[in-house]
This record gives sequence, C-alpha cells and structure tokens, in this order.
Amino acid sequence: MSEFLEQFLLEARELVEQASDDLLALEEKPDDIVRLESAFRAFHTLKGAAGIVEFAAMGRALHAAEDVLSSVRAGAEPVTTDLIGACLTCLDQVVRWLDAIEVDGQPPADADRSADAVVGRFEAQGRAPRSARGSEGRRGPPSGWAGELLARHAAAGVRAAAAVCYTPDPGCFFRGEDPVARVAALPGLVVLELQPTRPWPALDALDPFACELTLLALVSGTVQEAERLLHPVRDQVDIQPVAVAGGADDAPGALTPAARALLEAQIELLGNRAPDEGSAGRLASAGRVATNVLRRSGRPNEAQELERVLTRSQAAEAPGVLVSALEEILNGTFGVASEEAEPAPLEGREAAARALRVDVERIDALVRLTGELTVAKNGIAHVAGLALGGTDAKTLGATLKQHYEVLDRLVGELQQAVLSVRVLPLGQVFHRFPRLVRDIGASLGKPARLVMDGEATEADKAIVDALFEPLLHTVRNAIDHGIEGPDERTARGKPQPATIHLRAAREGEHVVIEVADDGRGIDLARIRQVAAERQVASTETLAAMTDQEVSELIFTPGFSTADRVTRLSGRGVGMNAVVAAVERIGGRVALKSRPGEGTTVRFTLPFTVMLTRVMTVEAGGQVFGIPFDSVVETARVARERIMPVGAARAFVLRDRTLPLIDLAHALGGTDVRPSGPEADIVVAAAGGHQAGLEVERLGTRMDVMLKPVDGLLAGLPGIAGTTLLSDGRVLLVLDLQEILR
Amino acid sequence: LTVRLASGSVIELEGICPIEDAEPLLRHLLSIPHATVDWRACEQAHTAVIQILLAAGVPLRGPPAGAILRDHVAPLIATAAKRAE
Repeated sequence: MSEFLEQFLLEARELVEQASDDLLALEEKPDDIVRLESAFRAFHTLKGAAGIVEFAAMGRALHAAEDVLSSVRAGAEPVTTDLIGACLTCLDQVVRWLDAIEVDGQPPADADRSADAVVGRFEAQGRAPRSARGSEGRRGPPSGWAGELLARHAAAGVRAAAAVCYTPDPGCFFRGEDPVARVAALPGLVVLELQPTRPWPALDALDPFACELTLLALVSGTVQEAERLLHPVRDQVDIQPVAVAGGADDAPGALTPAARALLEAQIELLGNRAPDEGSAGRLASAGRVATNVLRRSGRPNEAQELERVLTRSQAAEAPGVLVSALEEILNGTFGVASEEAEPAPLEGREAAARALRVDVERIDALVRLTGELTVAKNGIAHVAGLALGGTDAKTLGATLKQHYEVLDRLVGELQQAVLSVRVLPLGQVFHRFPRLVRDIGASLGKPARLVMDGEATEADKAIVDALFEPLLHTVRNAIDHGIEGPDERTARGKPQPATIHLRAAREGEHVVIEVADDGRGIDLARIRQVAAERQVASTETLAAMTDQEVSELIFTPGFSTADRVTRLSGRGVGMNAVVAAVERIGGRVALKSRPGEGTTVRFTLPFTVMLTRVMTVEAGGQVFGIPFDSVVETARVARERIMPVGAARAFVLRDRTLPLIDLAHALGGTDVRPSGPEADIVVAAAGGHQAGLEVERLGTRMDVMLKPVDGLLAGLPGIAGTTLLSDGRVLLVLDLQEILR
Repeated sequence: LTVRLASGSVIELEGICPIEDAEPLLRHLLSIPHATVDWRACEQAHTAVIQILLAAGVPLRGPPAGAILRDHVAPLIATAAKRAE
C-alpha cells in the first residue's frame, strides 16, 4: 500500500471518529452549534480526502450527508434521531470501505451500490436527490432511481419503455429553459414526478428564479426518441430503458411459496421467547437457514445483507433484529431499508495492527537522548585510550565510574522515553463507546447514554488495545442485565435514558477503569439460584457466602453457559471471559453493586505491560519472581500452626484457612523442607484463588522488563516470562494463575 | 397578466403562464397567508410557476385546463398541499 493511501486511511479514521463524536453529542444537544460545525467540517474534509484518492462512491455518500448537515446549519431542518442515524450509517459505510481498502489496497467493487444505499437513505427521509447528484464532477442520479420510480408506479409502468431523470441546473430559467415543458413534450408521457432537490425553504426564502427540481418521468416512447429530444440538456439527464414487463433489471427473483414458508418458520422459531441457553443457537441456526433460502432463491445480495444483520443480531443478543429483517424480506422491503432500521455497531471491527501516532515532542526527546548517548560512547573510547596508555587503576576506576553514572542516567531516560512513545490516551478506546451504547441500548429497547470521564488518562498501547473487548462485554452486560426496562425505570422514578459511566483514572502504578450503570444492581437471589442450578458452588457454600462473594460469582467460569464461553468472536461471552482478558494484561476486576442503585465493575490495570513489578523469592535453591500484583502479603508462620489436610497442607491466617503450597515442590523440584521454626509464606491471589506459597527466602522488589518465554522454555507450565537480573542470571517470573489452579 | 389577485384570498392563473408570473405569484402568496389558487383557466404553466405552487403547498381550485397540468402536475401539488397542512 502506498504511503499516500496509508495516510488517507489514518486521517479518514480520525475524521470518522471526530464526526461520530460530534453527531452523538449533537443528538443529545441539538442546538450545539459548535458540534454541528465540527461534524460538518469532518464530513466535508472526509469528502475532500475521498476526492484526493479518487474514491468517487465515498465522496458521493459523504456529499449526501454533508448536504443534510448543511441544511441543518441553515436552520432548514431540525436535528432528529433519524437524521443522526442516517449520518452515522453513512460513517459506518465509510468505515467498511476503509477496512476494505486497508486489506485490498482499493475500494471494494460494490462501492457504488453501497453509496447508493447511503444516498437512498437520505432521500427516503424526504431529502432530495440533490445529494444524489454526487460529488463535484459527477452528476446523475443513483443507479437505482429507475427501479424505484417503476416500483412507485407499478400499474402505469407497464406501458413505459424509457425512464428519464432530469435535474436541470439551477440557473436554467435564465436561459429560457422550461424543464417541465421539455419533459411534457416527450412522446407518450406516462408518469411525471417533480421532486425538490432539497427540502423546500420557507416561502419567503424561496428564489423564484432558481430551478430546484428533479424531474422523473416514465415515457412509452423509445429511449432513442427521448435522447434526441433531450439532447440540448443531455449533461443533466439520465435515460434508462425500461423492461416492458415492468421491473428493474436487477430485481431479485420472487420467493417461491416453499421459500416463504421456510422464512416464516424461522420467524416463528425466534418469536417471542424469553432468552434462555438455547437462544444463541436458535438465532444462529435461523440465520443460516434464512441465508441459504435467499441464496437458493437467487438473491445473493440480500443473503449477504442478511448475514450482516445476523451478526448484528448476535452481537446485541437480540433475535428481534433478525426477525424484523426476515419480515422485511417477506413483504419485500428488505435491502436498503434494513440498513436504516438499525445502524450497524462497529464492534465487529477487530483492532488491526495500526500505525502509532506519536507526539513529536516524544520523538524529539529520543533524538536528543541518542545524541547524548553518542557523546557518552565517545567518552568510553577516551577511557579505553587512557587504560591503554597505562593510567593507574585508581584514576581509571574513578573515570569509569563517572562515565557509568552518565550512562546510567541516559539509559534510564531512554527507557522512559521509549515507554512514553507507547503510551496512549484511553480515549482511543473510549471514543468507540458512545456510539456502541446508543446502538446496544436501542437494540435492547433500553435507551442509554454514556458519560465518559478521564479519557485523557494514559496507558501503554498494549493495554489500550487489549481493553476494548472486555470493556465492550462489560458495557453490554450493564445495559442488558443492569439497566431496567423503560417502564420499570419510570415506575421507580429513575431518569430516562439510563446512564452508563465510563471512568478512567491513574492511581499510582495503576490505571483504574470503571464501568458503572445506574440500573437495578445485582440480583443476589437470582445469582444464588443460577449458581446452584449450574453447580458453580454447593448449596452450603452458597449459604455461607457474603453478598459480595455471591455477586462476584458472575466472574466464575461456568456461571455463564458453556456454549457462550467458548465462542471466540468476542460475542455473548460471560463475565469470566472479561476477567480472563483483563488478567491476561496483568489486571484485576472487582465488582460493587447496590440493589436498586446500580453496579460498578472496576478494572485495575498496570500502567505499562513492559515494566512489571516483581518480588523475588528463593525456592528449591533457585530465585523466582512473583508478579507483585498477585502478592497479597507475606507472612511468617510457626510450623506447628501448619496442619496437614489430606495430602495437602493448610494454615490459618487471621481466622482464614488458606491452602499452603510448597513452591519448590509445585515447580517440580524436590521437597527441601527448611528446618527453621517458622515458614516464610507469600500469600498470593490469582484467578480468584488465594493460597500461601512456602518459600525458602523472601527476596526484594524490583521492576523488570518481562519478556515472554520462547524457545525451549515455551512449553513450561507456570512460567509467565523471563527477565535478566543485574548479575546476568535469568529470572523466571511465575504465572501464579497456573500454579494456584 | 395571466396571474392576478381576484376577490378575497383567491389568486387566479389563466391561459399560458410564463416565467414572468413566478414573481408576482410568490408575492401574492406571501401577502395572503391562506390563499387559494384558482387555475381552472390555466392551460400551461412555466416550471418556475409550478415550482412555487409545489413549494407553497397551496390549495388549488381546479381542475386546470391544460392536460399535462391536469394529469401530471395537479396530483403532485395536491400531495404537497396535503403535506403542508
């Protein structure tokens, strides 16, 4: 891919983000002029960018949106949910195109069709085909206009042989042009439509001498005749032959009764059932059957569209989305319409390896450091020269120490600088959520808005990139399970729409992210019931659990149905998948719930994955590192207080019984029972378990750059990574999650 | 003139209405909020005149004399008038 195109993709994505942000803000505050201007500018710039890479279809789609926004700016049109929805759909399409370009290096072949769909959506809202005229240079209506015209006049269309679309240029009256008379003069006029090219302004703002009409006509005369008569205005006219049978050439094949029956059966299958364990399976199967039916009926495009609808439906866990699409297929309104019914959430987009945008200052810092390092290197050469020249050891040592100090400072700064290059604001993940919350809320019938806080908080790129999925699950869970339905909210006197708070803050070495909803809180009785049913814990254990412990049961594997956990696509996974994802990047998840007031899920993440704080311990005569995040405390316990429990051992710490694991033994070494009267124990927690690890000696804390294990060590269980110690030894850092399991 | 203000709030269009009728028609419509346009005698109208009728969504007294106006234009204006209500 050319550098030029890469730049385009990068900027276009940023503009799409900007525009989405503005649109959503605008939906909330329709009279926010600043946002409106900003959205308009973003669309305008995007359109310009599309023009530069000569992607006409994208330019056309954006032009339609820009037109609408410009009439909003002019005060000719109010901001409606529909309008915002249409603009967002347009952006969705742009993102799909960008994705395609990123993969193939060129726009997809069906770009024009998709652009027509976008333009069509704006038109469907009573906005006129002026937007359809296309970006600068391309005049002419969308390719589907003839079919639509015929569809509107099915009866009269039978007599038609040609369809005419004539958009006179606004100044044509001054040239003595009378467009209606010109079209009326066509032989065999069957149907005439006059559409405004934009919503009519107030009457006192109407310019009587500017032609703002598009003329659509069906004539029974031939195309050739029409072309001849309209020759003087040929650049403003599109003439298409019409099949006498009535119907555009790309009209899909009709559905056979058998196909209809099959589709109806799928609707019935999905119809009004309470969600249960089989929901996801039913949805997938119904979607598959319906797609196949469409393919067999010779409607590949609709089949493809339905697949997209299915994905959306699954993502939102809302079978209703698919049902309404199937209904549309049956009554023939499926297609463009389904796109507008519900804008596709963007969540399907996997975070591809993207370029990193770095503040110039940070790069400058690196350049400066490199310069200083070069100077330091030359200094060493000078010392080497001194050594060779026979300078005495003491002077040499002092000089060397001086140089070491300089190098030490520089390397430290370099490390900081390199790390800071990888640091990104969390806003990069957050900004995708306002849109998602809107869409998920809409698809579940629970209107919700998102309030963000601390988007400027920074974290390592690896963390930021890995955060999207767990956050998405959490947010969806919050809307799906946390927030009450609109009626219940009203009954409880809660504000409408519901609010989801997404907060981020830096707390020391950690970044804390909270997802809070103002819903009903966790239904403890229901959790106990489900946990018992699914045998997550025994009845006795459940009875003994505190409320907090019970609520955290939703993190337990097996609490969600197994079928959901194994699905990798990142949809419909249970909360335990969230915990797993967060722990993979070294974080922890906690939960706080207040009945009737809401639930807060709190992620505590390391600021950077590159520097890991470990504590060293000795076991089996070797030094190991334990991730400091997992260490709860260290304790020295008298041996007589360690009790054998079956084959294992346990000890009591502050009235709590904890299993005791001999670390050397657990790592496959021999039991070297230390003889001292007291055992050194590291109490650690990982993966929801707590246990004591008996070690021979407690070491120190240190920050290390953790390298993933590879080569021969890769297969070793219980090792999270390695790092080099100051004396050149390799330190193995343990994966406590595996050891405690 | 082929466009003129008749008694009360009725604007009449008559014969073949050229583009020159557009501006007076618009002026009349602006000065009379609830005008009705009587175009029974109208045989032809310039696009600019039709455009004003469409944009204003004004109620019409018809049918007009011209065939094109009667068969094709009148229904469109009627729809626009309904929308304007």
